[in-house]
Amino acid sequence: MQTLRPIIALCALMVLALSGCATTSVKSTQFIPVVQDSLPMDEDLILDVGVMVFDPGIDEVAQRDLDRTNFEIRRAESRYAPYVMAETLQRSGNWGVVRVLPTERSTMDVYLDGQLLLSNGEGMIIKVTVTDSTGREWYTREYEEHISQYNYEQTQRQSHDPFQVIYNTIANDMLEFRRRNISDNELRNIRTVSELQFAAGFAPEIYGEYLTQSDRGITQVVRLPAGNDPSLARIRDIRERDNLFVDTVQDYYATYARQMRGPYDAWREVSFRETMALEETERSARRRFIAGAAAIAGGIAAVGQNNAAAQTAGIVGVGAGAYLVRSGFDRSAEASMHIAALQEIGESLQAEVAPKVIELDDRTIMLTGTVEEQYTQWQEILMEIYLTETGGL
Amino acid sequence: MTAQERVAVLDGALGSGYEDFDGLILAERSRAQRQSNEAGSDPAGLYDGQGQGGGGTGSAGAGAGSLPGVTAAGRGSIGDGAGGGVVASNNGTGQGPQAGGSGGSVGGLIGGPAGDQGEYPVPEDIPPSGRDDDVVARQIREAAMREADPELREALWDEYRRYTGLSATDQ
Repeated sequence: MQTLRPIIALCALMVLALSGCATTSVKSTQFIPVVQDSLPMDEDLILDVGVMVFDPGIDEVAQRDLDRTNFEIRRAESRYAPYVMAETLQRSGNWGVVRVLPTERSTMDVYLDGQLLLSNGEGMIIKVTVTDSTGREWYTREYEEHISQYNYEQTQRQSHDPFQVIYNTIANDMLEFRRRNISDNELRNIRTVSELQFAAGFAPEIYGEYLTQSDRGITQVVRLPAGNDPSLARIRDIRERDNLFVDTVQDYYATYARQMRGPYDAWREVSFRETMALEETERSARRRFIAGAAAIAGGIAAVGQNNAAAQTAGIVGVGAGAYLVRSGFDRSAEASMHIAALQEIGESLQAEVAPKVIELDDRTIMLTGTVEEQYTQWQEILMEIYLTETGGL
Repeated sequence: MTAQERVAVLDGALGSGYEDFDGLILAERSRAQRQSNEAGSDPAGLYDGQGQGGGGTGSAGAGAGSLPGVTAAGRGSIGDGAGGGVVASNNGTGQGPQAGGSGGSVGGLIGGPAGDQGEYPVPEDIPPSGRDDDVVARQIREAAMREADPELREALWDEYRRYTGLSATDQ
């Protein structure tokens, strides 16, 4: 019986290696809707949200994923995903205006920073940090979703993004945090700080000392402007125009997202299938290499025994192990084909979206530059008015 | 000049700056709106409900580089109008939008309207060349020349006149 043990073990290993193709991916089977809270009547309690253009996370791509990650697509996604995020937050009705912010020039009450850690059509990981204008970090969390082919069905795609659940979850968490942790007084304070930040950014000589920073980096209001402060009234006029500028940039992003959505979804669906096939092939290759190596080692050990049956089993084991290792190499070659396919479809989408990213960035930079030029003129005039009004001139 | 009068003058300068800014934003939004119209609501034709959806080849092997709604590299370009507006899900062949291979042309979808660009004539009181225009004036001029809506176009030309000082001299 003892001599048969290696044979039984070898057979068990081979059966294990050759069968079982179960996927270990976790799928999102439940659609999580975005929660809608009732907005307070007091406008001072409604926070505006700025969603920053995401970090494409290129520096975070693991070595093993480099050959299956298209950096240009990541860059395109880093401008697409924040737009979907902003849309989701706006649709929730839980916030004031929600805008994608290409630069940090415009002030908002709450900022959402995102970093894309994975996006391959099958899975998406976004690292999100939410802070408010006082500099208080609400939280940093990683959101991960893995989807199934169902998410790419026409009916699903027509109604929402295939990864809509990840955006809804982020939106729900933001709401939950605000409800649980931010009092009405704190909401008012956040609003005041953001207004004074804009004022101080625009006229530091006038409003620079209205705010201070604590040791922990939290911005605090030192004093408030008078209710009839004429400079603040002018700055409010300017801020309204800054909002118009941000709205205009929003139009760019809306068109960009609309242009990108079709080809991007198509790429994600093909990438989904290829990624699934690739992962399964790689798992299978790995199993075969391990089982093959074990079988060869076991076989060599058995050949060295004095028992003839064990020696025979050892020879069979070595042969079977060699077969498994070879089939592992075959699977590796198959995996390379999937990687090549992923690269090919990636290049196809890249050719489509890269010029749009450049156009979007160019347009945004050009408009920002023009607006900044205008702001500089206004700053000078504001200062002159201030000095005239206060007798400084 | 008293301080009050000086403040009034400076406030006037601010107001004038606001007008320029509003004109710039108006022109820019008009341009963005036009671009949005050109792009259409579904540039790749993937969401119009006519495709089968969910179909597919299963594996992208050789020739899998074509994605529906994606102009193949080197073939066609945005705005070239060569695509004839044919997209994968609308070609009536019954091929699902995700089947891969047949592709579609974004260029074709937005190529048509692109031909309209610049076809609206410059009003008589405005110099035809616009050689001396700065960035803002050029943006307003371009937006006005491409604006299909006559009312908005006239508003843009008014803005152009105001910005370049034509209104003060010619009107």
